[in-house]
Amino acid sequence: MAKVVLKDRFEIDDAVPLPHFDSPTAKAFQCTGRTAEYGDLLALVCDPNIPIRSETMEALRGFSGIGLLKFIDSGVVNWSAANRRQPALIFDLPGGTRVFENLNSTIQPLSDDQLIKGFLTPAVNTLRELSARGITHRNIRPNNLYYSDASERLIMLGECVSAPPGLNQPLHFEALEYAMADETGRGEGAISDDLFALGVTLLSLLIGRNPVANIPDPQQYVFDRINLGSYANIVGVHRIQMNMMELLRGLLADDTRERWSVRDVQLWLGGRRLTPKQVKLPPKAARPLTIGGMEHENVRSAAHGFGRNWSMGGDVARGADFDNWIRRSLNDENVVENLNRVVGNAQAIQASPKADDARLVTRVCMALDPPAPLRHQGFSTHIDGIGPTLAIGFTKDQVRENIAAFINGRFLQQWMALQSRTKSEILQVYSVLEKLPGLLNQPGPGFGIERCLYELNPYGHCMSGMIDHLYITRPEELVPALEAVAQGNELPPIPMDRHVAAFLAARSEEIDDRILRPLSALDERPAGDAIKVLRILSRVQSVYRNGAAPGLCAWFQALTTPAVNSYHNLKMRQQIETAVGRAAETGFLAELLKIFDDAKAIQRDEQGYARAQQEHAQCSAQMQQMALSLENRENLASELGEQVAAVISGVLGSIGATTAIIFYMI
Amino acid sequence: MATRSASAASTKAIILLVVAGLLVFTLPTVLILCVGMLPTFAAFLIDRRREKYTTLCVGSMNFVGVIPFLATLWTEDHSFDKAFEILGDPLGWLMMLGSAGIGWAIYFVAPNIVAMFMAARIEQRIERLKHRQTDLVEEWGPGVSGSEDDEGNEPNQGG
Repeated sequence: MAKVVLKDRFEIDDAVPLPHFDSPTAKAFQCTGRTAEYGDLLALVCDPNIPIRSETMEALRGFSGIGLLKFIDSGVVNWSAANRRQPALIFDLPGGTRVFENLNSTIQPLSDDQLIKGFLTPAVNTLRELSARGITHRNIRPNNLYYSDASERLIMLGECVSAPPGLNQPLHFEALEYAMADETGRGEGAISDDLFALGVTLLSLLIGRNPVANIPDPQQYVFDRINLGSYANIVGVHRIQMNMMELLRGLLADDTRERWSVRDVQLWLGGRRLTPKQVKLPPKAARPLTIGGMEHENVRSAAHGFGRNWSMGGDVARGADFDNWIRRSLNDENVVENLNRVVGNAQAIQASPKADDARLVTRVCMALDPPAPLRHQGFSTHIDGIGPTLAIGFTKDQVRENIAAFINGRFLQQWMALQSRTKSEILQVYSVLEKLPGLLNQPGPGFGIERCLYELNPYGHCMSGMIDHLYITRPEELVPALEAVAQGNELPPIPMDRHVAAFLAARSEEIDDRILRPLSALDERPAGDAIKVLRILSRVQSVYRNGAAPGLCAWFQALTTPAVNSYHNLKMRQQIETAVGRAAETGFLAELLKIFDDAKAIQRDEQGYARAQQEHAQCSAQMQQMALSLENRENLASELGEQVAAVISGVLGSIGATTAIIFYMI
Repeated sequence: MATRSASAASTKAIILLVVAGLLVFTLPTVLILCVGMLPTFAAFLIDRRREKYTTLCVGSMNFVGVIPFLATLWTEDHSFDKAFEILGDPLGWLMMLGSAGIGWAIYFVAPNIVAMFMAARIEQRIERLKHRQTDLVEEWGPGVSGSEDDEGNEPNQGG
C-alpha cells in the first residue's frame, strides 16, 4: 500500500479507509494536502461505472458555505486495489460524524431550535447559493448529513457529486415527478426538488428516524403518493407540531407551484407564520380508468399506469373507454388539448397501428402528465436523465435498445411543446437529443448508440474495452492512454473501436464526422483499416500535442506490415520497411502516415509491377517459341541453309570457272 | 498497247532465232553441256522450290566440272569427234559428275552448319531472357512470374 498522489497536491492514503464517510457509489479514504492551505481532507474514490457530476463540481469550486461538505478538487488516480484508474473527489473532512449512520438508524429527535439554527438555516442558505450558481444538490437525505464539529450543533449537507442526481435517493426523498422516474434517469431537477428532499430530511431529524422505514411495493407507493399526496404518505401518522406542519406542508407539496421556495422558507425562519394549507389532491375523474387491472382516478395516476403497462397501454388508448374517460369523466380541457396536440383526436388514436403502440403510449403519457418523466417501453426518465441512464446501463442490451427506440421515436419536439417552463440546461440537452437520431442510425464506428452515449454524457469517460481502466474523459488523453495499452503485453486487434471513435467524434472539435466516415467504408487495400485509424490518431496526436508515443507507433508498425509487403518492388519494400522503422522510433504517428500516404510511390510501384509482369510473360513466350524452334532443329535452317549452300556453290563455281578459263587462255 | 505487245513478241522471236543459230553452229559444245550437265538437270527435276536453290547449288559446281572440257573443245577442235572423245574419257566423267557431287555435298552440309549456328544463337538468346527474368524476380519478387504460391509478396493480403 502506498499513498496515491492526485494532481501533485493531494495524497490519498489507501491504507486508511474512512467507512463512516462512504457514499453509496464511492469509498472514503484519508487524504492530506501537500501544502499548508489544506486542513484534514477526505477523498472519495468513486465507482468508475457511475457518472460523476463534473459540471456541478465546477460550479461548486470556491463554495464557502458552512452548510455543505466543502468540495476541494477532483481528478483521476491510479487505484492499485482495483488495478485501474478511478475518479477521486477531495472534500474537507467534517469535524463531526454522520448524523444518521444509515436510513434505519434512529437518533435523539432534534429540538425546534436545533433544527432551525443548526440545520434548516444553513441548509436553506446553501440551497440559495446553489440556486444562484445554477446547480442543485439532489442528494439530501438523513444519512448524507454530517455534524460540522464534535459539538454537534451545526449539521451540514453531504456531498452531491459522486453520482448522478437523485440516484441514491430513496423513493420518498424525491419529489413525485422524480420518484416516478427510474433512479438513473431522475435528472438535475430544480431547487424546489431539493426543498422537497429537505422537507423529508427535516421530518427525519424531527422524529429521529426515517419517516417511511419500509416500502414493500415501490410502485404501489408511488401510486399512493399520486392519489393521496406525498405529505399524507410521508408524514403519515407521525405527530408533528403545528408550527412544523406549516413548513412541512409547504415543502412536501406535490404541485411545484404550491411548494415553498427558498424565499418562503427564509420568511418562515424569519417568523412569518401562516395557517397550514390543506394538501391539494389531484382532481378526480367521475369514474376510474382501468389499465392493466388497476383503476386510475386521476390523470397523473393514469399516465403512470400507462407507463408501467406500456405493452397493453396501446389497446387501452385505442379503446372508446379511454376517449370517454378523457372527454367526459375527467373533464380537463388541458388534457384534451395536449392529447390533440401530440397524438391527435380520438379517430387518430384509434387508427394508430398496433406496431406503433410503444410510441403511442409514450405520447399519451406525455400528454396526460407533461411534467412527469418521459416513459417509453417500460423505462422512465427525465430528459436530462437519459445520459446517465445510458451510461450506467450501457452494458445491458435492454437499456441500449430502449434508449435507441426512444431516440428514434423523436418525441422531444412534442414534449417541449407541452412544457410550461423549461430550464436553459434542458434546452442544451434538447439540442443534443435533437441531432441524435441522425447519428444513431449511421452504422459505422463513430456513430450509433455509442455516439449517443458520449453526446449525452459530455463528461463521461471512454468506455472502450481497451482503455476503460484508464478512465479518460478528454480527447487529449486518448493517445497517451493508447500508448499505455501499447506498452502492455496483450494488444487488442487495432487501437480503435466503436467507443473510441464515438468518444472522439463527440468530444473533439478537430475530429468530425467527415474524418470518421471512412472507418465505415470497406477497404480492400492491405492494412487499409490500420492506415485509416493511423490517420485519425495521427491527427489527434498532433492537434493535442501529445508528444512521442513509440509504443503506439510500434503497434502501428506491426499493423501496417501488410501495407509494406504490398510494395512489389523488393528494393523499395526494403526502403519502406527501413523508413517505417525509423518513423516508428520517433514516436510520431504523422511520420508513419507520411510513408503510407505517398500515393505516387504506390502508383509507381503498381505501374512498374504491371510492366515487369508483362515483360516476364513476354520473355516466357519468347523462350517457349525458341525452345520449340530448337526442338525442330532440322527445319530450323532449311531455307536459309539452302540459300547459303547456293551462295557457297555459286561463289565456288564462279572462282572455279574463272580459274579454268584463265588457265586455258594462258 | 497493241504496238508494245507486238514489239515484245518480235524481240522474243529475234532472241529465239539468235539462240537457235548459235545452237546450230555450236552443236559439239551443246553436246558436252547436255551430257556433262545431266546431274544439274536431275537436280532441277527434283528441286521443288520456286527459288531452285538445289539446282543453283549443284549446277554451279557441275558447271565448274564441265568448263575445262568445253575449253578443250574450243581451243583444240570444235567438232563432234572431239566431243565424243571427251565424253569417252572416264576422267572427264569423273570430273563432271564429281564436281556435281561436291555441289550436292555443299547442299546437304551447309543447312546443318547454318542450323547449328542458329541453334547456338537461340540458346544464347534464351539464356539472356532467363537472366532478364531472374533480374525481374529479384527486383519485383516471385509474384512477377504470376506464380500462385507467392504468399509473402502478393499485395492483397492482411489488412
